[in-house]
Amino acid sequence: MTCRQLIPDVIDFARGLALDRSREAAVEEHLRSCAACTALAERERAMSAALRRLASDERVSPHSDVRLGRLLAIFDAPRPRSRRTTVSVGLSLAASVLIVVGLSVGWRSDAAKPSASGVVAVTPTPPANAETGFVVLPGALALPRLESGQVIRVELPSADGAIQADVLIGQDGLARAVRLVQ
Amino acid sequence: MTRIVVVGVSDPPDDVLIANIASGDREAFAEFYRRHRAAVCRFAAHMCGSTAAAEDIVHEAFVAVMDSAVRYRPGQSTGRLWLFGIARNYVRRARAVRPTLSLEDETPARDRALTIDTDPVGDIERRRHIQALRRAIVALPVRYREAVVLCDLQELSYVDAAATIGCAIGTVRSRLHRGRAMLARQFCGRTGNAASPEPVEGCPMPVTRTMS
Repeated sequence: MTCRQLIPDVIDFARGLALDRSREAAVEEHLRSCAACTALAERERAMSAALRRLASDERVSPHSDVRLGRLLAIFDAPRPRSRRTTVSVGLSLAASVLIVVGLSVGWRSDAAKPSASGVVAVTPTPPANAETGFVVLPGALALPRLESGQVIRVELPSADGAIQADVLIGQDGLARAVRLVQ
Repeated sequence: MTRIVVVGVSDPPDDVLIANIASGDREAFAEFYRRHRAAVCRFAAHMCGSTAAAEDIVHEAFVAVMDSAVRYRPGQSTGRLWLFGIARNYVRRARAVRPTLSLEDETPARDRALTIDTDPVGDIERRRHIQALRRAIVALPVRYREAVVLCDLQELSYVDAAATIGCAIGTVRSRLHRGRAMLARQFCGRTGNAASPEPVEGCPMPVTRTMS
């Protein structure tokens, strides 16, 4: 092995790290015959000793009840939401707005489809399905069978916190019905 | 809020303290602070070369602990390494705001007055070496300084230092070795070969010859 290949192990060895048996034997054998690496090992040992002196010399100011008291005052005070929490709330709100906009666009595209004669067909809002609790969205063509669509649960911000609702998406990808989660 | 109590253990582990901090337990916070303040302060002082700046960093790091405790995941890290990671961010931020920090000997006059010198000359020499080394460490590029401070001064393993920095173990090892070589050059003011055989004042290092 060349010096260059062994230098990392020589440094770790000089730092006093435990090498595995074969690597340690290789380093020891190399150091017996290589003056340059022996000098490097000496330098690294001296460096480690100097760093240990620095580490033990480094004084930190003693524990201070005043500093801890200042931190505890912050701990006790009501804190604003952290930035990450604010971002996640913002993202939820943005997602909610997107869903609402998507629903409204879906309703408009269905409701405003002109007939062949150029007259917009107005579909009366069907009543809630008593079995499933879904209310058909205004303008939706028909309430598909529950098992043929996809139900997505969304959470929307409200004055009392958040409300949850299930949105029934038809196979054409348009929202068809909605129900509030009790 | 649920407070975790470990029955039969006088010193609850860091994971329990952090979980309790997340639940709003001020005593857990105080205990976590007492346990780790000195280590974080030393780490910050070594990184930025100023004990005054280090105190600010400690304060900011522990304020961050209050908010970050809920996101701490036991098993991914230890409490101490997690705290070093937080402090490391504030060290980097502090350096961006105040790139030139004091390298003065900030040992308080009160502490010096209480020191009894049994070997005044040797003590002066020792202090000069330590100051020279401290300056050389602060002058290192930050990536190498981090490796030297964490592995050599805080005595973390390569694995723990890599977890704190967020890089591969091999990267920490090579940064440490490179940092030590740079340190030897800066500390001793020589290029690492026998071309400049005169030792620089304050350098305890032996002369190193060129590698084959």
